[in-house]
Amino acid sequence: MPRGLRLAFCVVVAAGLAWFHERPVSAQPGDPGRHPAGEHLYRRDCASCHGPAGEGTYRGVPLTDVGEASAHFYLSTGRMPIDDPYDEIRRRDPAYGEAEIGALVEFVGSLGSGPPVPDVADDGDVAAGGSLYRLHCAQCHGSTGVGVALAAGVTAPSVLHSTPTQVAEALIVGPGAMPVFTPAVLGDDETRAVVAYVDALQSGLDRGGHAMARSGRMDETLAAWGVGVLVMLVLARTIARRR
Amino acid sequence: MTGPSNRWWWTIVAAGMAIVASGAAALLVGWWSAAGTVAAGTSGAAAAALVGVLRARQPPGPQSEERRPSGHLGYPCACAEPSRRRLLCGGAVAAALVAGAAAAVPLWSATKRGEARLRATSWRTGTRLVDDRNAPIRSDDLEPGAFSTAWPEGHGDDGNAQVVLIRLPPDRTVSGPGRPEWLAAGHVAYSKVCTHMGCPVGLYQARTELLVCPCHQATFDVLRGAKPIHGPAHRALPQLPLAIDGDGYLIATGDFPEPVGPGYWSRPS
Amino acid sequence: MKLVARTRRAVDKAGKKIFPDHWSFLLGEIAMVSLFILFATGIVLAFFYDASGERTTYHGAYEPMHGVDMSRAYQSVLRLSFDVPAGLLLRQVHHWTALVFVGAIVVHAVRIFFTGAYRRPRRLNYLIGLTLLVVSISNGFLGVALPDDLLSGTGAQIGYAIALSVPVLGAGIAGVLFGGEFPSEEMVHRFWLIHVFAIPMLIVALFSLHMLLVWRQTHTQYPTDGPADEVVGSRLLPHHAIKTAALLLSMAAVLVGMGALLQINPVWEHGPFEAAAATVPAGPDWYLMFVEGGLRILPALHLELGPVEVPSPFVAGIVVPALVFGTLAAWPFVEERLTGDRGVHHLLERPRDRPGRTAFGVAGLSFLAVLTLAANHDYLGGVLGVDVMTMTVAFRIVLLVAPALLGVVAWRVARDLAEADPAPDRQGVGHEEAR
Repeated sequence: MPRGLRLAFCVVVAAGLAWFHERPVSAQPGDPGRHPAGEHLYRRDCASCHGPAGEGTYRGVPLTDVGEASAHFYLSTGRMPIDDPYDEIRRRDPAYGEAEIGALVEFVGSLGSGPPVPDVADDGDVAAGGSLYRLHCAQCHGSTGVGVALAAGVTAPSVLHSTPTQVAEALIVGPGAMPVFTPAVLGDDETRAVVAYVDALQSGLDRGGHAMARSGRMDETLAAWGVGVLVMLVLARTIARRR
Repeated sequence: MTGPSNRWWWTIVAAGMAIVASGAAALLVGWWSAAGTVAAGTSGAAAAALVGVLRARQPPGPQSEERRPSGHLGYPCACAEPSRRRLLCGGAVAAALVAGAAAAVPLWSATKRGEARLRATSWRTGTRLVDDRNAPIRSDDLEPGAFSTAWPEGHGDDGNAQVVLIRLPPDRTVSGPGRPEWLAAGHVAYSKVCTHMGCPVGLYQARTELLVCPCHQATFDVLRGAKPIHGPAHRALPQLPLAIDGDGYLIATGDFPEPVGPGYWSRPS
Repeated sequence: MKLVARTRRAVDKAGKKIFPDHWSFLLGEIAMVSLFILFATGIVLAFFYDASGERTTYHGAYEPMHGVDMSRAYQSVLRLSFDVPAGLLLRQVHHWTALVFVGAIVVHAVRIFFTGAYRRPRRLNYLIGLTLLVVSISNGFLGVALPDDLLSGTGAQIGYAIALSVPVLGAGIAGVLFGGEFPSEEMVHRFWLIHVFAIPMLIVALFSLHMLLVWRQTHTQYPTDGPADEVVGSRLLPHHAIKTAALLLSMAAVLVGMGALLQINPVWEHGPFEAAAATVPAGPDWYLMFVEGGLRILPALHLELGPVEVPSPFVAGIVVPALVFGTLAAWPFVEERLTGDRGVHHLLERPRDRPGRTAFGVAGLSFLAVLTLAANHDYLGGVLGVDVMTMTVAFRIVLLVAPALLGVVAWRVARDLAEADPAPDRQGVGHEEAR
């Protein structure tokens, strides 16, 4: 390709991207029409793995019945899109703006049936949520919410950066190796309670000073030696003869 | 007494009073963090003053003290002759043994041996499975891929009886050493008490179908009878035989086939 | 009047006792001062703690726990933390001090080991010190379990399984300590009595004996500081006492500062203990992490002898600690056999002059350090993005390689250093040997 043509190509692509970025994508809920913006983004970024109609390929799972909740969870936490199907699926900065995510979510929702994005009111019972969190969530994500490594290539992520909507979606969808929490296990009230507790955990249940990395015993060990014992040794050297 | 003047003692007394005062302030104010900082600051300042004084008034030079002759270095019951020492040491050991034996009797009476309960739990034929709200669990409550913790109805306080209840995806079942005939509508139940050290094995990895213990990461294969596939556990998690009663609720059809929880000397196998 | 005069004479005489000036002789005093702070804070905490496993419902100042079912022990710790003025500060100071206390004992023991201070005539005092370390670690375990929160309850569960794993006596030992099968309502009460009464008495007794022997046997010293037949340093009164006072005050400052500024063991986040719940990352305080690490990474070594069994926790829970402390206790006696040196020694040795001992110590410490790190392998795996299976295998390899490798390195470094810089005062050593 001659140099000038390449440059022109780039300019066109950039202009196209800029157009998509600036164009206010209207993703009004309940709009029964087609979803041109969402469909365009889907074709461009998702279809190569998940198939043109969300039917799935050997590179990606079918999206026909995952629903809006799942699409919103994966896109808003930056877990999707990934460049290579073998890439690690982990939390990143979202690749799209809010409007584009809205359009994509709506499009994926229109591919089949599946749970909608839950509407999480912020009136959950924090105390009840705490008990439920400790029974159902703390075994993987930890009572302080930091998350740990699990078996067979799985890592439980921290919940300290999740929005209330994402927490509720994860409970419905069961992303990755996380099990699904069906209404019989966590009903509406209980889901709102868990969401409220995670929110409280994020906005600070810490008392009594700096919480360090919130990893519990590991931080405490590092501080006990790195601050406590070490300072004591310095004190001893200050007070007594050094050599 | 040789050495510096009485000013030393005033510094210490003042520092002590400062600490007591800030402690009292902490109790009164209740703003613990500030009080702690005040207390730390005061005692730190006092310590710094002491070190300063110490540095300013170095001792007049190294002093020394003679050691005792190396033969008897002042054991409290110092006795140079080996025969007497042996007698004394022997006596001490004998006394300790007698005292220990005497203490063993009341100690033994303080034991409450739990073996009998480790052998059996509250599951009986026909006992319904209930969740953490004591609500019986129906066979369509859990979606495939979901899990829950369940207890025997009426025995929510029996920690040894708790099970992880998993509804497997439709295309999955359990193979040996698990018992597929103990599944009910795709539900499998395993003891939640880890066979390594008794922690609740509540960490269910869907899709990979693994149960992981949060304490020492013993990993059990859900599809093969919760056999340990990695980590420190040796035995599989006991499986609870399940069925569905006439009203559509999940029930047990008996107790676990073997004792739950960590191993011990006389555990029946 | 006669009594006053006599007391005065005794104080005068005691005040002339000589203490070496080198800073490494303050390491034991750091532990001693920590012990004083532990007693002071512990006594206040005891006023507010309710050693009962009875169930109750919370309605205190901490709203995210309202209406939650919990034990009265846990409730009292929440009350202490949120309703009692400066209660949380005291609790945090107590906990930080406990961590530093055991750390100081270990650092003190490391100094004793690498300089050969345990040799005759101080073998008995070395054994007493080692016993103090074991007793202090046990008390730390019991103290951590007292709040009856989810994290410490998990630790108690593991203590129970370790006790249960002991051949023949396991069920009996677990029954005495825990008051029945875990979880038992009596557990916190028994732990409490042992933590605040039985073990502190034992610590005071052993510590007094430790001090008495130091007093009568006099301190060791470095060969550069003086000859073998006298101790060189400062008198107890006033110079050494002032050093101790300065240490006490500055340590109080640091520990209260830590308690005020760094959160430790947020039991209100871990929640009350419940048999069905658990939290990660779970583990004991640092001094028991070598046991926890062994429980995590050692393979499932399990023994079945017909009708009886020895379950796998026995190896990491009992055999490994017994080997660690047993080896330490036997070391002075083993070394005497190996070197044939049964003489009395008041002068310390530089680690470089005893490359074998130094290598052994470094290998042992790195073994313990690897196990300690392994106790956090799930959290470290989460940070690194690696699963626990990989972490376990990696730690198994490091556990085998690191001690041997570092031991050899230490041996060579010690030998090279000693060659480049021979012992500074051969005269002093010769003098001692001549006696």
